[in-house]
Amino acid sequence: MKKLALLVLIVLACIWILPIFTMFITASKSSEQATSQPLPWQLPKPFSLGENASIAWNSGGLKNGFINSFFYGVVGSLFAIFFASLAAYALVNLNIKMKFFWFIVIYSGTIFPFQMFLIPLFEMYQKINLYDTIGGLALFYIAVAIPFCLFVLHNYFTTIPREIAEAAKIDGASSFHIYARFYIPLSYPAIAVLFLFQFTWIWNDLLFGLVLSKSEQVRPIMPSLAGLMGIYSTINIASVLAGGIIASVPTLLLFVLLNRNFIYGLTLSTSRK
Amino acid sequence: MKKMSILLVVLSFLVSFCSFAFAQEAVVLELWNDKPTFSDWFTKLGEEASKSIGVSVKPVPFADTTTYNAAIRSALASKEAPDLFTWWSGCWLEELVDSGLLEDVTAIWDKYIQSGEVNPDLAAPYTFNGKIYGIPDANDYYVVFYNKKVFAENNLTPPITWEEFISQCETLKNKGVIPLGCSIQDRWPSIIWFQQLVIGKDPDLYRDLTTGKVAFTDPRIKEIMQVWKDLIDKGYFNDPTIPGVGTTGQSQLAELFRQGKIAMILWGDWYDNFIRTEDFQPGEDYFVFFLPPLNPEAPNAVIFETAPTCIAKNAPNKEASIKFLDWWLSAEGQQIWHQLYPTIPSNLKTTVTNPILEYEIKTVSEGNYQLLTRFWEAIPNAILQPAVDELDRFMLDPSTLDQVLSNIEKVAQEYWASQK
Amino acid sequence: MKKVSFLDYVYLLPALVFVGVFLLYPVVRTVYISFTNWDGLTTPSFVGISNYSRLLRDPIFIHSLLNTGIWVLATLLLPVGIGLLVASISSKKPGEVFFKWIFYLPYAFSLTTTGVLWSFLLNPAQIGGTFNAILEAIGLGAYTKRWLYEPPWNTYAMIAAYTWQTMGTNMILFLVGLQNIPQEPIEASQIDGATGWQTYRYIIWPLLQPIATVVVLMALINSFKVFDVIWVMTQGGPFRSSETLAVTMYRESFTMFQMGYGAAIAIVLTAFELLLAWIYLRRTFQQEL
Repeated sequence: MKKLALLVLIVLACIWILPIFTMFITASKSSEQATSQPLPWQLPKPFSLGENASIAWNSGGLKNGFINSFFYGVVGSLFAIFFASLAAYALVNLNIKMKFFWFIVIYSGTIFPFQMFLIPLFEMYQKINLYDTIGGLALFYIAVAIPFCLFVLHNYFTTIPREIAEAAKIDGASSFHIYARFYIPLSYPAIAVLFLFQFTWIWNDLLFGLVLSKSEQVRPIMPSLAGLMGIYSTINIASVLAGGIIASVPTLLLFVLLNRNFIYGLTLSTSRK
Repeated sequence: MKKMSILLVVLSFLVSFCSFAFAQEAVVLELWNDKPTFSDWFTKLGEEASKSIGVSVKPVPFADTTTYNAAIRSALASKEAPDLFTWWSGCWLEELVDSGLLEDVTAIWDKYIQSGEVNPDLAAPYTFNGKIYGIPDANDYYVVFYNKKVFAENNLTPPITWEEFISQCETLKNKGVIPLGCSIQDRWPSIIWFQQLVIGKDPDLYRDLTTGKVAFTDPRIKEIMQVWKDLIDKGYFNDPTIPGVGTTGQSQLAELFRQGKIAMILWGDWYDNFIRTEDFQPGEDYFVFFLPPLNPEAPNAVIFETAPTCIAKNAPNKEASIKFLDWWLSAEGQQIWHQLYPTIPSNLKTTVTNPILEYEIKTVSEGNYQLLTRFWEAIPNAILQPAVDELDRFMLDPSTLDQVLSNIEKVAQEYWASQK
Repeated sequence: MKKVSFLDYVYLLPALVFVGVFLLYPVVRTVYISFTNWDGLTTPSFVGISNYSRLLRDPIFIHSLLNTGIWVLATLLLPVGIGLLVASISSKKPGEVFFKWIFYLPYAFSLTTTGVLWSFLLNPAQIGGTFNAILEAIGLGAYTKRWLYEPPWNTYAMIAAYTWQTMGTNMILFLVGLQNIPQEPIEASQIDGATGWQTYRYIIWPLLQPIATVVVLMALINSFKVFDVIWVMTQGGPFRSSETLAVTMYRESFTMFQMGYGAAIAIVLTAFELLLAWIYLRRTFQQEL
């Protein structure tokens, strides 16, 4: 049984690797070879990943995009996690009436199809002069990341034993103290996962970056990348994919960094029991 | 006394410096567009304009056409309106004109038409109620690119009649070459052969079709579709799912053309940018010809694609914007733009350096070709989008001919009825 | 006797303000637009419920609804199901990290890049599309297709691309949940002679519920909203055959400039999602109280 399971896993892994492999191989081909020899087992000759990447980098204005998206990702995720954790704590531990109602109100932010936000936000931003501003875009990203963070943290907080909070209260700790000294540290694995997911989401966002910004100083990275494609652009798929790869380096690095935190934090929390 | 004179000298320097600087201070106009890859060219154009008329232009590129469209529509009515912006001609422009948010630039056109520098026919897609609302930043004809080597190998020269064209297709097919290239990648290219066949039957039929005077289910249209179906059934076209050019950075159609696997591609002459490489040059390896009309009695006609740059009614620097467009349409401005972006110049005094464009201009003028606006601009959006989808359906499976025509006609009738 | 403290509500305030201003206000505005015939350019005029009644008569809407249903079901089966499978098999075993990498990697790429990559992979064999080429190489050449142009295969192909990209996130969440399960009950049941399957069903699965709730609901909501991957790969085509409600909404709003109609579609889509979320979450909430 175990062997069968392992086999299934290996087959799935092979299926999953094939597109990744194709992407790297194709992005490393010259633009001529990418169309004349498109199959992934036709290896790149000459190896042009650097060239294609620099075409994408220079034509796409990716440098500003990197800086901007990094800012949006960090600020958006951290503030969202902070605000959501406050709300989650309140809903789990404090004396709030109509808990489910408040939960649904905040969580509903994630239910609406994103396209719905586009035009009203665009209009609103123009009216209050937030259009094409770094602050404006950052505020939006914080808002849009809150609902999912609330959901995860709320669920995670419910698994933290009540006794901890009660014991602390008997010792005279304030609500905020319990929140900051107990709930947050115990939730590091969840926070790590949330940071990873939200940063990645914000980093990969295309639609809102396109709609709420127009200048290179404000524009996040994915809209810049999108400008590489399209009917007016003669940039070929090798460079487009190379651009996609460069653009994904930060989200990959983040995964590498945070990966250990899930496990470390978890063993810490389970050992307290 | 000495101190006073030094002070005076310094002051006068300051004053003259300031007035000098002030006089040189160029107004910088914002040119909103959805073509990020044109940014360098717009910037250079602006630099030249600045030298000439003290008005400069800064491109504000939007990365995506759809968001650009929405942003412009929203901005035009507000205080955030741009000075200049690129748009589309025909029905697209009409919509903005009807909303009263565009500046009328008839005066600029009149000036150059009167001096004989600009062909008045060029203004047709921009004219509504006798007024003209934009200056072209791109003009293109739909022509057939042909691979010279493939033609030479089969002893072919560009066809003069439709029959010759058909027999060439047959010859090529028998030699294992795909005669005609096409694509439906990104939806819109299905209009290319449709519009060409209709004007090849009769340019007036095309005009009536796009203004609702002729139905899509008219027997003449059906006949034309039947001709198209025959061409597809005979295997003259490649698999239409092969990308021509589009939003995924792929243009395998051009590659197959270069390799000689496809002999001819009917497309806008701007497709040259995708075909040309260091090793594959116009004149030596490929060139263009105008497709002979399907109906030998039909007058010479070509599909004409043109796109304007317009001035918003609420533009912050309206006078400077008008000055800029005036300069852009002049011989000087047109020459500079032509060096930057290969398109047919609007000003007849421009020296054309591109062999393909040179050939096109000469042929059109000598053959008295009528210019018919491309289908994408000639027909209202409400009919266009479903029509494009249906033509895609036809190209994927020509047996759906009747269904396709009646589907389009249904939408067309609804639209024209709602306009009454 | 618990004091009712106003301060407690302050904890909710930042989240409420942000979500209210940036996410809920647009929804209210969209509801308003859905009762007009706005085209994004001229001033809107009120048309009552005609957009909604038009929906019921529109065959595209019905088709789009069906496609959305397919996406929702497929997302439960594939990204969630395979995610659970993979997490369960690899959890706490050697090689877990390696598999985590492989399956998560696609998520690091944007949905646009995924769309571009997969349309490249699904090209016709004639121009070297990898999948079709593989099919031909292993003798299944008869099964090659114009994947993105033949309904319903275009929808299935896009679901495959979406699964490839998002399965990893579900797997990670399940792994987190599995890590958190204490060893004692598992060991105890095994001493009692329970089989692997019984242990899984009666011990592990119930303890996985909190995280499973998150995964399932998140996947369901996202499947309703899928847009990027469909728009890049087929634009909802050919001839609108692969549109889901989110795509139809976008097309009506931004291609046809029927903002009012698009808004109505968005409201209907949202209503379905809210209903689902309400039912699902109410159950979980009540279980805790």
